[in-house]
Amino acid sequence: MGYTLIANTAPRSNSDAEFRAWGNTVSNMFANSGMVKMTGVGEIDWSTVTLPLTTYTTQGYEIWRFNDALQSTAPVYFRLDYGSGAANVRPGMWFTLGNGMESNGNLMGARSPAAYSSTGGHGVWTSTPNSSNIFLTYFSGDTNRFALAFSIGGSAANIASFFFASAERTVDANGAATGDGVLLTFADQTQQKQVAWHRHIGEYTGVEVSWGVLMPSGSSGVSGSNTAVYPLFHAAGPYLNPGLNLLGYFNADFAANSSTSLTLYGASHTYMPLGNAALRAISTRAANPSCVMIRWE
Amino acid sequence: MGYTVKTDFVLNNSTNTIFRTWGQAVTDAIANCGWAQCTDVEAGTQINWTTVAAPTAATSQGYNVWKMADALQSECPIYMKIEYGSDTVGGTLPTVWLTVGNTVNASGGIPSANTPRIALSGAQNTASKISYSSGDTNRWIFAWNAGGGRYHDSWYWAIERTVNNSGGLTNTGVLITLNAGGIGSGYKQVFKGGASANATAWETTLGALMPQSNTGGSWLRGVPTERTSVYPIYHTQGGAFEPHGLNVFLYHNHELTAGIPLTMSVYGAAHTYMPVGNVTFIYPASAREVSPTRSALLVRWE
Repeated sequence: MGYTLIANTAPRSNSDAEFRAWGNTVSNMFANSGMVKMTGVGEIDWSTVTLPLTTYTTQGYEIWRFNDALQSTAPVYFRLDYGSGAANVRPGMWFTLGNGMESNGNLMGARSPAAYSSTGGHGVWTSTPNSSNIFLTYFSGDTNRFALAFSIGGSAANIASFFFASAERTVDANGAATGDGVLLTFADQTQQKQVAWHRHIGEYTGVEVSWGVLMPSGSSGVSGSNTAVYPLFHAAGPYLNPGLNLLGYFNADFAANSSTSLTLYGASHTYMPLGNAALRAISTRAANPSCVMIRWE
Repeated sequence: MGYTVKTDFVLNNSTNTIFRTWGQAVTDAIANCGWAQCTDVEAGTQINWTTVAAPTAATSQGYNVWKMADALQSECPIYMKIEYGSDTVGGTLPTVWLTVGNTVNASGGIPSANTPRIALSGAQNTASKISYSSGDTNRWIFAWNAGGGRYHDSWYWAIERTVNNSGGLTNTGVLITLNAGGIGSGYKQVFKGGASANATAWETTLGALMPQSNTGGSWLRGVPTERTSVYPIYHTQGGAFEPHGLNVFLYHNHELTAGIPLTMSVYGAAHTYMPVGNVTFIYPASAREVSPTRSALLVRWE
């Protein structure tokens, strides 16, 4: 019962209206996925917020929580900050994870570190403004997961305009969600990062600066009537079971923006190939052009 | 019922005796694993370790040809030719060449479904160095100078039959993994079909995925250490990965002690492995391993 949307976004904050437009679009995506936005915690007001005037500045935030059966025993709260990146007109977002929330909106417990610089951590997502183009933003989510590919669709010219974030609960060997933690995966024009977060201890390891995808060093995953896709592994020391949010693939094997069904953990799921316009070379093993597809259901 | 041996020999071709010593050690290693040496009728005149002379030029001084000796050999024949000599001017540097295919001819050629002739060589060394070999009738690993202390003296070769999802042997082909020696550029692997030509070109990196955190066993940030991870190497015949073989794994070098065998479960069964360390294979073997000193080789040892 998840939610998917392809929206048109202009990755630019030249005016209050532009800032509100992309920010509110993203906010609505989370709302429509079934996660719960906390109110009365000083959250951003999309009808009054103004554009950021300096770099790496947040103009406000929202606190969300998962809304699944595990939330009562394994709560996950996360904070989205909306603001600017390396220029005030560049959209920027931050993501912070915790296992609880104080009444003032501060996250509690084993938090992931918020990052307020483009090089300091995994939580900042920034894009380059593009004054003349509107790009596609993909969102897929449910009560306990999301994948956001902001301003990623379109021509190869928009490589600098995107950012990407994914979060989902850890899964067991059958692919069922567990309460252990959350698998986090991020990217923007300069970085691809991932880390696994444990609800009691925080991040299991340091942030990894490449995605844990192993692909052959060839150029295609096609073998006979089968086409291979490649899971993404997060480390907790040992690898955890791969999540369902993301899969790697060879760009030539799937048409971008055309969803496809495949079996994962013994069940059929729908995925959306994002193509290589922006988020590419995801495998560190010379598997270019490798791309990512996101769960699309 | 496999065979393992840890030997040491001098790594050069300066005398006939030294050349014969290391060549005989390689020959004995595979013979004792249970591979069957082809007769001279099958494979032509093969090297004679009592009479062969050390190379004085970049050349092979002779060869022997081996075939797997298991129940699958009749339906998926695998032949392996080993040539002994040197690939350097003056013949000073020990070299073996490996060629694998599904037939052999009377002149020692491997004419069909064959791999290219792969040269494996390290630098010479006047001191005696440790090598590891392990195998059975249908698999073989030789890690030349794995305990030697100088990485550019070293190479390894690992061949085994393909396996199914349960780790059972199949008649599809063989998985070959190697580091040809030299400094950091020698990693190769290939899936080779038994009845056809190479399904893919040689891959020049190993199909292993290691975390970047430099630890596979320590659950960080307060969670107790419970286990140590090792990392399989995946081959492809194009498209998807094949089930990984059992011959070689990677590990974080600081987590296991080189030269001390250990038991671990692979495909649900207990197997013994030997950590070889990272002296031999100092350059990154895993695509994601960020430090060249961290990943190390674990070889089947039974």
